[in-house]
Amino acid sequence: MSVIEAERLRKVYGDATAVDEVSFTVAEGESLAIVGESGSGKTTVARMLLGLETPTAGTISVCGRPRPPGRVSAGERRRRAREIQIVFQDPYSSLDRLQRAGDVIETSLALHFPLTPAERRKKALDLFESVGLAERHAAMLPRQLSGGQRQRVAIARALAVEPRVLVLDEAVAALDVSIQAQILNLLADIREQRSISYVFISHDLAVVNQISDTAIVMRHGRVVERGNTRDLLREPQEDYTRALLAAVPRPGWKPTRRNAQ
Amino acid sequence: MSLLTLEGFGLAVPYGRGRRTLVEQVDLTIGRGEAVGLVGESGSGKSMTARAVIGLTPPGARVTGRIVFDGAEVPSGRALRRLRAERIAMIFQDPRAHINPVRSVGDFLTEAMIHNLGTPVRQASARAVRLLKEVGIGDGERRLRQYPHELSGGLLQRVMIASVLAVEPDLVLADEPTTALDVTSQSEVMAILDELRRERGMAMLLITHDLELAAATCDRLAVMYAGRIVEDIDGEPRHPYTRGLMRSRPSLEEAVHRLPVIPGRPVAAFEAGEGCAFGPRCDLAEPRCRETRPPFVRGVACLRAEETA
Repeated sequence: MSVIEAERLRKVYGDATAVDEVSFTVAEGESLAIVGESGSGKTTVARMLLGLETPTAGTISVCGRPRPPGRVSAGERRRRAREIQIVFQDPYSSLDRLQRAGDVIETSLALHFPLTPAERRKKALDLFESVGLAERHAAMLPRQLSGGQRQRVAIARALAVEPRVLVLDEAVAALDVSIQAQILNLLADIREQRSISYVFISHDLAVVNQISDTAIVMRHGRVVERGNTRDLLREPQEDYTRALLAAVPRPGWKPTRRNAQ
Repeated sequence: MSLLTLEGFGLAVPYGRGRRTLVEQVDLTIGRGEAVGLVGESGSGKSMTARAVIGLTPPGARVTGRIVFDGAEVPSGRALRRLRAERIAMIFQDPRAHINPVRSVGDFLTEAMIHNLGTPVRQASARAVRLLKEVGIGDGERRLRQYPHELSGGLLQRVMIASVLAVEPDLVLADEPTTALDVTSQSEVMAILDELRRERGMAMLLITHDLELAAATCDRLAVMYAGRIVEDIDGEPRHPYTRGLMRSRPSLEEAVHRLPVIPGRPVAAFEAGEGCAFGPRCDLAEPRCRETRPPFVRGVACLRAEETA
């Protein structure tokens, strides 16, 4: 069964088309990568999935329920929040600077579950443990945490409502190499333990190779290639995908110039 | 003779009533026309080291050791300004944060030529167009009239490089010049830098967190951890930190069940204890590693480097 069905999505700002005729599905437990450079429209797709942007045309359904544009009740918004959650690139700007890490999780729990304060606290600490944080971190403010720890808080916050889909928008891009590997492993653990699907937005093909089952490559708002991640990276069919792959530094790699523009 | 030499360079910044060490005991040399990569994670002190070369140290910082450029210690005041204007240029990670948003690209590129070299305005503009062409921007006349917000990050970084070329410096300090760019722009910007370096005999110090990028574009690499250089890479990496970094990076060729990770997080110099700063994260650490800082011997600061090689 598909947890996400996006059909012919389109988003136009003024006379600029950010997303054009983008369709894809995400199966239960699947990890789909959306690959592209800046301006490719990959983040706009993510924001439309979350309801942060209204598609100009096209339809989205999450967990089998269509999400038509327009205002919805608070109850419906909560229901939608329990279906899909997001982790942003920079947890420093997406977390409240004045809210302690533990309260971030508890606020989310209080909104969605009828728990006593003691139960809530217990559940928040369990979530902390599942993302590799300790009890002492719960009392800290975002600025007292390192970048990797902040991203763990953002992941715990997203997982708190037990969503079916987690959208990760460049969620490991700003992290140090050694921390990035830890978070990628954490995400792999989470997917193994829960029935959760990922939509992993990234420009980093090596990271995409490690985290996703399927991938779509976007350019100028359109899908240029799609397929099984492994095949797509081994035998890209499109010139653009090949150019992206060729630009990744590796042993023996030499940087190259395109034509002057 | 080397162009730039750092000898026992260290830097500490005021913190509360005391000081915090950010960089210590860094020895580094760059020859004329040579490209050296300085690789490290956040807090390793790599940017602080590069910035100190042109006197961009944080307020109240205490600098120890010597920085020698072309036979003389890096000066201060007016002489330092001359050095920055004529011989050492810097390219920053985020071009948008280092360009005046209310001045046109043309103003930015010609200002130094007009004020420092006394070039007539018309000639300066013509030269700016030629420089833009060299960095792969064809329609220079139009670009000169544009403002920074009208250009993409990749284009703006090329404008930055063009401004560096206007000076024809002996040394370019490139601080994560491609981190904010897309991979295809990164490839292009690095190719431009590489080409210009070879053609003009410019030396480059490339500051980056990306080992693969540095390895592909530099003649030599130094790896920093907690404010110190832990390894000068010559062939296969030998320091457990460098090896761990290379292993933990996901690969394009194969996906693994779990990445081999380095536990813990990178630390800054002032957070490191008595022994090896990497010791607490190292799976090869022995009791002796906790006692003293490992000396830098034959290109690596690790007591167990000989065994693991």
